[in-house]
Amino acid sequence: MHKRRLQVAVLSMTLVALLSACGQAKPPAQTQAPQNSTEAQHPAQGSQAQTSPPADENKQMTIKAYYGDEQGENLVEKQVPISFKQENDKYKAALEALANSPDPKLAPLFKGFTIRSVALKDKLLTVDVSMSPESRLGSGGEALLLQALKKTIFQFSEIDSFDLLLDGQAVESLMGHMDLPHPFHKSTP
Amino acid sequence: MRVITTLISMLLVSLLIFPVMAFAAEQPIHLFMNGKQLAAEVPPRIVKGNTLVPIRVIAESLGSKVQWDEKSRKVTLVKSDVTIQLFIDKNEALVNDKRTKLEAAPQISGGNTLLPVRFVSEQLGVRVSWDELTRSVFLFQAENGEEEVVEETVSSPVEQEEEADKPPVPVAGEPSRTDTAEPSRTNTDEPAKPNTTEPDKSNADEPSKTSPAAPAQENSDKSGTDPSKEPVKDTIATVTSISFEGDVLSVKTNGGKPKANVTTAANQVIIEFPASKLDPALRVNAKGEGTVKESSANISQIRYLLFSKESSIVRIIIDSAKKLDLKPTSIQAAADPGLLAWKISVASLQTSKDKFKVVIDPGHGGKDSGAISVTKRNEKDLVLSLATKVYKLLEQEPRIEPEMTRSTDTFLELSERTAFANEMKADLFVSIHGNSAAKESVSGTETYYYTEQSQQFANLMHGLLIKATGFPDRKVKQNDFYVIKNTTMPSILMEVGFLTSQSDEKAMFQEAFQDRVAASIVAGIKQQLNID
Repeated sequence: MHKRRLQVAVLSMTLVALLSACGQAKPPAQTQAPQNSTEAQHPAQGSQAQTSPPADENKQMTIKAYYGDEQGENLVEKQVPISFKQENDKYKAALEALANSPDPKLAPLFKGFTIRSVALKDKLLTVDVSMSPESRLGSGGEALLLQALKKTIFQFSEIDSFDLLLDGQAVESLMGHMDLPHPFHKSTP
Repeated sequence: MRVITTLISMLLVSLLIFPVMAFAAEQPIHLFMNGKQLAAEVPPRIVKGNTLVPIRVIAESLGSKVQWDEKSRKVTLVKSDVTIQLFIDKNEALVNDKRTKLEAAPQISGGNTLLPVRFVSEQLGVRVSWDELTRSVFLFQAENGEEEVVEETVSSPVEQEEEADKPPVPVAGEPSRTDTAEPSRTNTDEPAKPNTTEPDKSNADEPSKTSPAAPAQENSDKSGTDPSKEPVKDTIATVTSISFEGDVLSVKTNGGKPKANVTTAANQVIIEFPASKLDPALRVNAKGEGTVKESSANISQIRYLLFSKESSIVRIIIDSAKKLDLKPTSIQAAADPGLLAWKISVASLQTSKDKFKVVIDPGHGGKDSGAISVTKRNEKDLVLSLATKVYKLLEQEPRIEPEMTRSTDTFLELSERTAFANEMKADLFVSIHGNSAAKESVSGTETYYYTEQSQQFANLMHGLLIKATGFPDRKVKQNDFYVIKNTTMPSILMEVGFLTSQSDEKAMFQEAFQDRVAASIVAGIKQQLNID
């Protein structure tokens, strides 16, 4: 019974998230994501050349990453470059981008986290993390962080769902304020 | 629960006039599922006499699966063998691929999709009723094939006769009936559709789907002579004795496991035994009524009668000066399956409630340290200290019964915290937290609520809190934190100040600061409960 309620809750939460995006006039993330990934191969590379000279075998792309604003109340979207060797390292690199803000005014919500493993299977991305006590945010910060993680992960069209584990465990809550669905489902396409 | 059911039944009639009154008031609309209030992230609204509620509430409470198709702006709800497809801003839905007209189209508002609750619920076999007085939508779902208790309140014998021959379920179809009676009125804000008669047709199909009881009932209305039309005869039970002793009403029946529906009104309790008759040994007067001997101070009299000959319903009516509360007792039930017993007591009146349960929830604990302060102190210790101060102050209040989710440094899941408060039916829930941000410059006090019933509590508490902390005002906000989303009573989560801010942190660990803030929280609780 409890499990079923949970399922329903997860489902409906997903749906709410999904539908809330639908209400916005702005076309949602995914339509832009493919552009990014294709773009990234060619023009993006040129523009980044001066900032981070990549090792030859490294792949480069620009992704959307999310940070807390100055007052820690809203998410701010930034285009940031990431580099990785294998296609599978792309997600790890994207998540790690959330731990370092490109702008000192913005708060890197994912700071203090260590990514233990990242695995993509059947469109489900499982990310196992560790967290330092210092990275525990307040209620509003936790809400922003979960949003930032979802938005960052789901910009990759090949991912449908995303499971965040803490030290290998599917915990009920990451920081003691928000429930942590296992997994998150992609909201709006 | 009793109050709710009484209200529902008294106001079933108001369904008829509801569409006319739709735009009359702006008060919030409440949602209840089997008597339990549901939390909606955006307030339900009324459109053309139909209540639209956020999809999450529908899906969660009706246990249906939901899919969203962005391209066609389509919501698909699936529950067992029923599939409903609804389209945003379209007055037409597909129920198992069959076209059905909607009186109000689903819409998107504030990022939430709102669906017509009655239509969706009824398609999924959930009964719906509306109470104009409290502006509440009541949903009834029989769980696991359990017998659904049909509630009806009756004020005079004449009305009883009329209502008895009406199955309760078709009431659900009522609003559509009134709507079609006044098409011009309810559609004024939209150009008239070319085929306004179509809703009649589609609605006509509905009662048969939603109320299997209806055909049987019609048959018994016509005449009770044809045995083939009286399926009730097969399963009829006999009430053999009714007695009242030591506040316990015992009813013996034979003919299998008895079913009884209990309805409680202000000064009357009615117990109905469907498909039953009275044993001739139970004496009745010329009117067909008998009385049970009793000497209780709380009860005026206990009557029994064969209430409806056609459908063979036995009724026991307990008249009283005060509202009564019936609790089934199962002491002897195991020994005698035909025996039903209730303990009868005077119901405590909600209006003159003299004791309030208040749950104080210090955040985090145990392995969850919460935030770490600039001087490496833990949020979990700060909030426990503060919550304990609040608890001790509340203990001195004669009308408040305080409880803490944790009083030591222990880890609790969020679900344990809400279950604690929900199970004890607490009146208020206050979760105390210390904030943390990735930037040291962030400082201030904020108060969160989630359910609409909590907003006013959050506002008044925040006003007091801000004065007590003297920190920057980060306002009252709405967010879906677990403990305020999943508690059934008014609930708030306060972030007193930032442990990551030098100035906030320094103040927060001071005794005088904590005493002041604790006093302000107690003042907020008392104001909310109208104490003093």
